[in-house]
Amino acid sequence: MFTRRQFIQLCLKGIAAYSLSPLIIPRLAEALENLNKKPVVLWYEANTCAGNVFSFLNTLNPSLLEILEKSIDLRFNNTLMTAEGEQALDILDKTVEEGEYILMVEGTIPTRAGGHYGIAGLRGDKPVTHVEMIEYLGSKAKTIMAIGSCAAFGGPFAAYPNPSHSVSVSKALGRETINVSGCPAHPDWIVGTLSHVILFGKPELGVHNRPVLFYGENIHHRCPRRQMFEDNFFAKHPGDEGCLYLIGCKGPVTSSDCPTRQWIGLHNSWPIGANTPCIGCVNADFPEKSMPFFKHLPDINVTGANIKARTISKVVAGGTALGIGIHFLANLARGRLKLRLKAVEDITKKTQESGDLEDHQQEDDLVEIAEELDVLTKKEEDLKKKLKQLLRKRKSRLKKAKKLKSKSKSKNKSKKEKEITEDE
Amino acid sequence: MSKKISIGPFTRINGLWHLKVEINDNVITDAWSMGTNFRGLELILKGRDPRDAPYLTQRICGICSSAHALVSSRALENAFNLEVPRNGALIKNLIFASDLVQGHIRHFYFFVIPDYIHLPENEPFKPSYVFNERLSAKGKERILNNYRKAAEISQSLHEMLVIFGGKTPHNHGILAGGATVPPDADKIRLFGSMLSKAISFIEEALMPDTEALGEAYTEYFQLGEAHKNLITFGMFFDPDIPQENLYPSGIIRNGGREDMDKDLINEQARYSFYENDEPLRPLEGKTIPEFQEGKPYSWIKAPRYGKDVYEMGPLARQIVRKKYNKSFSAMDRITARSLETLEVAREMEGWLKELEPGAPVYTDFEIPSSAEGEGYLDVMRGALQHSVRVSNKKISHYQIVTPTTWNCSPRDNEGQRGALEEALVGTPVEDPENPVEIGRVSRSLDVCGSCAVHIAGVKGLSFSQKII
Repeated sequence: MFTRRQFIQLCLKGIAAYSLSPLIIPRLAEALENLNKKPVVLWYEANTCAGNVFSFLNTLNPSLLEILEKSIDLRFNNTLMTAEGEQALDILDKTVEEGEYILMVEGTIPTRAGGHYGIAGLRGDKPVTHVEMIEYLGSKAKTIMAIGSCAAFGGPFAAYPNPSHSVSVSKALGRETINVSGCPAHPDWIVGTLSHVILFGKPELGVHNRPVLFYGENIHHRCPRRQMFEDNFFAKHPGDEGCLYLIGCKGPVTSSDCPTRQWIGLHNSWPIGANTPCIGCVNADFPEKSMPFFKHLPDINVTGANIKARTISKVVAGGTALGIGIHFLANLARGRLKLRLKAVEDITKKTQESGDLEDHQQEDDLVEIAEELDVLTKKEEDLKKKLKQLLRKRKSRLKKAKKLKSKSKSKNKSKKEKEITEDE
Repeated sequence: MSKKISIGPFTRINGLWHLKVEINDNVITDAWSMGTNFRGLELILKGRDPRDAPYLTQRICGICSSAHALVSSRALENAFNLEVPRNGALIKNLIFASDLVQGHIRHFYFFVIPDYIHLPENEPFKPSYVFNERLSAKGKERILNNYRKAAEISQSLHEMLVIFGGKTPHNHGILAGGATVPPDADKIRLFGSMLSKAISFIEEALMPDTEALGEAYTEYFQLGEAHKNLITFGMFFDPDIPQENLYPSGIIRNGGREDMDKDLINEQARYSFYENDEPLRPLEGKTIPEFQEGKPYSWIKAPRYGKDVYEMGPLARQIVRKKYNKSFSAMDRITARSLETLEVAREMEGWLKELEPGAPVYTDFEIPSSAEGEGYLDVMRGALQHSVRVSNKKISHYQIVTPTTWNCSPRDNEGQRGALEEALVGTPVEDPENPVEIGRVSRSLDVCGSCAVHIAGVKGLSFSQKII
């Protein structure tokens, strides 16, 4: 058995290793050996592209697949399982009866027409909707993990005009889920979070109930192209070298360990490494507020804050836009820092006044604003320090100049003058 | 004795699918193929920046995402009159081909094999239908070994895709105008070394395993025939001729090969959950989703070529290209898929050598205020079509017709069964309690539930130019 601290170190080490699974899964098996009952896991596909299950398969080499099969009881997985139809539904019934299982869901839950826009299965002739199925499976689940941005937040198919009236799993159930977002989620995030849940229970969750372990760091802070941003070296189009900020990169408002973990296995690349902007696929407002993907300021209407602007020179409302706008301003218009800070404060105030703080979006805005504020305040302090230093230098230089002047003027008092210089 | 079997969920496919079959005296006499999920991506695309389409349409499908990026980028290049640089076309082909080979390998081992061989009794491989295994113990052991290796090889194919695509599923490397990662010696070498590993796996595992399966189950060379009509749009970008496909398009009808006429493609919706039901060409897109109780039984419309039912996929491509010449059965489909896997993997080696480090991969462009274009291209499971119309620099109309909507369509307005439904009719079922034969026939068509469930048009928009 290894401790939680060791586990977290392993997750971070996974960044340098081939992938996280070879580090974690054997230890998981070791830790579970002494238990009488293997943890039961259901992988349920709602209205999904099945991208997350293929991402999950991308983590497993043959021996690991075997260990995983032996250490956890993955009973239901539409893509791999041998049972179909009633046999498959029987597995679900049996598991719900037993209770105490981990439910992993990918895909959105369509609610339109009583859920008939998404059918999970057939009981005899009768269709069972995803809404019914997710309520049924959720009722006895010990832990629910929402894998991918669809299950976690609604995702691409819940984007405007949301033709199937799709919602996230937590919204469909009115219950907290552990959100492993991403479109799709990185294989390591899936295996890492599942292992943490099995070994130590719920991992520490940050913004939008995502594990801090994987979603704790801002992409822009860790970006290998950060220096290009500082140096004003910007890509002009996708496929161009340079910082991708001006062609739509959402890195500054996105938090995940992509820059260091990279995709997948051999860690060959990641979207920014492929000379394309990050599209913020782990964000709660993906894809709505990431679009247009290739424009740096989405032109969108946002409820909550009443400011709307079209150009970079104005402060723009909305989580993504606001964050990006302010970030850029901080770097280009340091002279007008105070003015910008005031604008940020204004928006913060307005958002608070609207009183709708349960809304995740606004919480997100506030967190982003707070983060940016920290950065800006620090920069302001640094600049003030520099200014003070400069002023001090200037003062001493002036003093010297004055002394020299008086020296040349009064040759008579040279004796006295000498004494002063000696003193200095 | 008549018996109806409902299979929902129909597992071991990509996404969700449901089937109903009617069995009389141990023979399937009727079948209903049911796509019962709806997402409406085409509606979501409306009003958005056209450059976003290759990224957003990928979200349709997790196993063939690059296919949508590819065809979507082709539709935009067609609309904006763009010429993709030679390097860009080659990289697009390489990204898509890695995904195709990965998909075919996973399909054979993960989806097809469990219908013929009992996997070890671990979850999630139990319970399964009870049936007699015909392969020798040795043969079975080899295939099970390869099942595990397939997991590794398909993962490394995805890693290859990432070299030029940035991430997968849903890569970033395919855009309208070309690719985004300039090739260099390092990338080419890394890609090449993984590719040669994949090729040896295909030669040493996939091909002999396919052969062994065919030899043990010879009756499946007779079973599972549909209407014997095949269609292909042609596959891969031709690096030398912009907007042309490398492999030819064509149809097989009455045993002979003919040229394909795009204008004959239409969609019918009498048995689907849509408001109107007259046959319409996809470009005229006039479909309004409306869930109805009663006769309609699928969210999928029924695409037809003229009035006839056509099937598509590797078998269609291999026969049209005269690479394969046997029959139209379930096992023929599986064999043709494996043959294609090998051929494409070898083709990739050639493309890799043709890459020119330092040469451009992408052409930058301005979005015109109005334009319209189409992308016709074969992908893993058959012919994929994206049509786009741009007004005021925004998408005003987008329509996608995927292979699975063809292969797994419900009945059309004339009441003709779709290809999958027709293929099932006449299949003997030894034990209706363990109807493993249904899966053997159905999975040979490589059902992709995810791809099929996006379908929705935009009301009242038409392409005036294209209407005859």
